[in-house]
Amino acid sequence: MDIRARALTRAFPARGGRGLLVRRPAVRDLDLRVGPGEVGALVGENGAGKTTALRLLAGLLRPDSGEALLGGVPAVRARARRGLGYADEEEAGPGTATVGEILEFAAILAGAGRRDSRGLAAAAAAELGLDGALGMPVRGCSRGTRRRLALARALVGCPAALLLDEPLTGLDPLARERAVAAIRSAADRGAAVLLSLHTAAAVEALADRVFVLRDGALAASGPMRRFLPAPGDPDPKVAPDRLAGALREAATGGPR
Amino acid sequence: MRRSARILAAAAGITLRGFARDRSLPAALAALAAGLFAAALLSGATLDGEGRLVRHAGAAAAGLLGWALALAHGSGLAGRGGALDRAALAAPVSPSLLLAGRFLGLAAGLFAWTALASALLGFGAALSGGGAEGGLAGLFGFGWFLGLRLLVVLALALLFSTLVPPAAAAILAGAAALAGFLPTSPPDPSFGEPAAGPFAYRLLRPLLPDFSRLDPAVPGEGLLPLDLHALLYAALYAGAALIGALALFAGRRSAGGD
Repeated sequence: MDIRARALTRAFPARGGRGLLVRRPAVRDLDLRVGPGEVGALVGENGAGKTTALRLLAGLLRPDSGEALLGGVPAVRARARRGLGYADEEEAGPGTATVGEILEFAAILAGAGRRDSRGLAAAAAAELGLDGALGMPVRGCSRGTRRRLALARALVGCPAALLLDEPLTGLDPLARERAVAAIRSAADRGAAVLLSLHTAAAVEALADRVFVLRDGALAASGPMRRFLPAPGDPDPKVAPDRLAGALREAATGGPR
Repeated sequence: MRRSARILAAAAGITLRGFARDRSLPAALAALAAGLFAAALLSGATLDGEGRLVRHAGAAAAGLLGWALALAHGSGLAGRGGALDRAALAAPVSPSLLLAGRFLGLAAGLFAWTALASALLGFGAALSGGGAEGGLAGLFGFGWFLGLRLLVVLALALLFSTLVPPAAAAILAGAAALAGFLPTSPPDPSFGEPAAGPFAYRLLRPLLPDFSRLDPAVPGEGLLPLDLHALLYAALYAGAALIGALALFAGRRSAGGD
């Protein structure tokens, strides 16, 4: 299943210059495609439109114009979202439910039977190191555990497409390593993955393809190698810094 | 069909467990116990040997607290969160199915509240020395009618929650439910009511619940049998409100999403 945006546009009401309500575009004419087995990274400054783009592609928002497609079917149709895993930046699940209950619920929503759902939930929990937290209510979990839960929820049942909003934010180094491995392994199984990322190191660790957003529009895009330093760089440790510079330049419209 | 039933049951289950773990349920039970204790003290001071005060005050407190639970939880049903957070909405299922599951889970939770409140009420009445004239059947009748009333209040809260924000939904649903105590026939015009009054009354009154059909007995004040007419009325009223809420919810989502 591929993830595709065609001239995708969505605006929201906002206060204009004289305090009047105007519609301000959060995403403008966005074109992108992530194929099966590929990891695409959406990068850009805060408010660049990454979260809105992901929500449009997950069918959570209707586009004003253009198309958000999953496997060629508009994402707002339920059948397009068969095999989609989505992780939200803000929500991990109902606070009164336990980690295990949320993962089992995710498995049932993904189409599993009641009996299989427990096994799928346990597998996703193990992948993110949540096995010890299955009985813990979400409201008692740390921020990092909630972030891992949001990601585990998206990974339940080996989805064919993944849309992840800042899946690595708030994770400690070990959890981050696990999350990167889980996302990479999903892509290796053939899933199309589109995620928003904030650090160059995360982009370098995960992305095959980069989409840089500026003011809701695509400012630059291309395979990861385009944003990496030239081959033969004497010090590979500086690569994330250089990548960060290249991404910042693309996201802000010029060197800083 | 089987998949829809599974999703409905899963959404109801996660909502019911969430309701059971929420702090509002033990807080309501503690408030009811405190009310019963205070009534028992007063009962002793007024030489009410039959424990009538405990039964009446307890029944009123159980009803009021049940209404508060139904309005507080029901008015947030159509909002995002719980079984309706973004990750669930991105799943390949109808959001209406998730909403219906949430409603059923909360309805089950409110019936559990009526069972617990009735048990506490029976315990309080027994301790106050009056016992229960209707015995267990009287308590069951009380819980049964209270549960049906709460089902109707919950359905109203759900309906309004699809139209307005939660706080406004709770107020409107509470007002609509209170209007359910008004008589079903308009006031007599010979008493000087304006002509438009009875017309508006006739127009609006059938849309509001009729709680005279769901009159809970005070436990020990006469035994009420399990009334199937009341069940039918409550189920039809709540079902109609649920269908309306699902239609409004689906329309709201298709208009803009999220």
